[in-house]
Amino acid sequence: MPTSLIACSFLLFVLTSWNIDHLNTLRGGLSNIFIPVLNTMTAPIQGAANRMAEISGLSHLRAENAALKLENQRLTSWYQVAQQLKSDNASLRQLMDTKLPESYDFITARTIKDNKKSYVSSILVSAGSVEGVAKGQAVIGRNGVIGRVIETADHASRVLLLSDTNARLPVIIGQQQTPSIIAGDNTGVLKLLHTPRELEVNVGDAVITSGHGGLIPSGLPVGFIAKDAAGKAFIKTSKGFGNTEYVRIVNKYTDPALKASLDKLNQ
Amino acid sequence: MNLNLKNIPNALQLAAPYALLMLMFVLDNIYLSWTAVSEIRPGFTLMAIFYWAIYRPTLFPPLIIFIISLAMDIANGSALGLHCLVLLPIYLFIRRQRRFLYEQPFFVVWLGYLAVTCAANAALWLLVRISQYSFDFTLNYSTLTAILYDIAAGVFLFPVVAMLLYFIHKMLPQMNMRAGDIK
Repeated sequence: MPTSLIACSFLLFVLTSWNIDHLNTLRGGLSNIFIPVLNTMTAPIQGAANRMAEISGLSHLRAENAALKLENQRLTSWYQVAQQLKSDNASLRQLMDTKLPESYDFITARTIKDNKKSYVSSILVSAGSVEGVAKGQAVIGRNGVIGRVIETADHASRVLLLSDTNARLPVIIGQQQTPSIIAGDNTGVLKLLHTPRELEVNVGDAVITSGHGGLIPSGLPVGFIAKDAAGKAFIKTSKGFGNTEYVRIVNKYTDPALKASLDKLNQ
Repeated sequence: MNLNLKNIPNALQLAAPYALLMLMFVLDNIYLSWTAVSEIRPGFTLMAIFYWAIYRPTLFPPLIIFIISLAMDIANGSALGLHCLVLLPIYLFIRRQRRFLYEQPFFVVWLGYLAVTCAANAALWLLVRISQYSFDFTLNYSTLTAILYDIAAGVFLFPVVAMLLYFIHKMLPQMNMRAGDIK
């Protein structure tokens, strides 16, 4: 019996590592059964732990309130500037007859489980194919893109975080729009690959998605450029990257006419 | 209040180790966004498997280890069978060594757990690399420290978890079984 179980595990391991379609269907089926059970089991403990964290954080409320008031004042003035820029931008685009980028909406999901071990970085979220989640969609955390959907079940999906060694994301950097590709290495630091040497990248430059490849929409924030002691640029992500109770999955809208044209071109 | 364990029905007593294993599994898989400590995984399920393999192996046949390992694979998104390839051989090895470990003071059992958790973490890392077709087996500093944190947290917490498991163990109906009965 134990030997046959080990042999069975070995077979499953080899076949699922090879990504055989039938095994992925089996895996999807098992996920549909198991993930709601895991969600139900962890939710009460998660809720109780969060309530405890809230209670222990009551003493900081006064200071937090003062900081939020200050931030609110600052953001209100920025909001007015943004409104002004938005209307300027709209009228300039109209003047130049620019084709606006496609719009998208969001699917909000709760994080059920994280798997940020030293060699894998992924999270499990509580929305799946029934809610409209599909493989390849971008996932946004508190302050920007944190990864993309790699696997979906009926009511749950797995998100590969940008910090995983297998994650790659095309981005553009700063006002110069320098193209680059982000790569994770499971350390929390995001490396830059294939950045043209002649183009300079400065500390503090904003990094946003380029939309190249068509999978992830353009213009989503990712982080800011920082440099290490040796002067090598990397991406500084926001505090607690990937540590978020709720995520937003970008449900990208594809214009049917544009899709038909692209399909025709690809033929 | 003096809790008389003999008053608890047998079925409830027998269900306790399974309930505790489920709790350990939940603790291994719970997500708490507000604490950086949630990134350290002490391996509570491994602690329970290790303990029961020594003190009550009849309660946990290999099939249960297989099922729990499969659940871990699904929760972690790893290749199916990966956790089983680590946990089942460890469980069978400990069960074989139980005759020795059963008679030892707690400190020796604790050392045994240290060896087991080191082996489990190393094997998991190796198998994950293989499943990702990544055959570069050099450990960078941050990966090594993250693995060491997991091991240290597991070893540090083992006495607490073992105490809880010991309480459940004592609650179980006595069985006429010697340490060497199961091989």
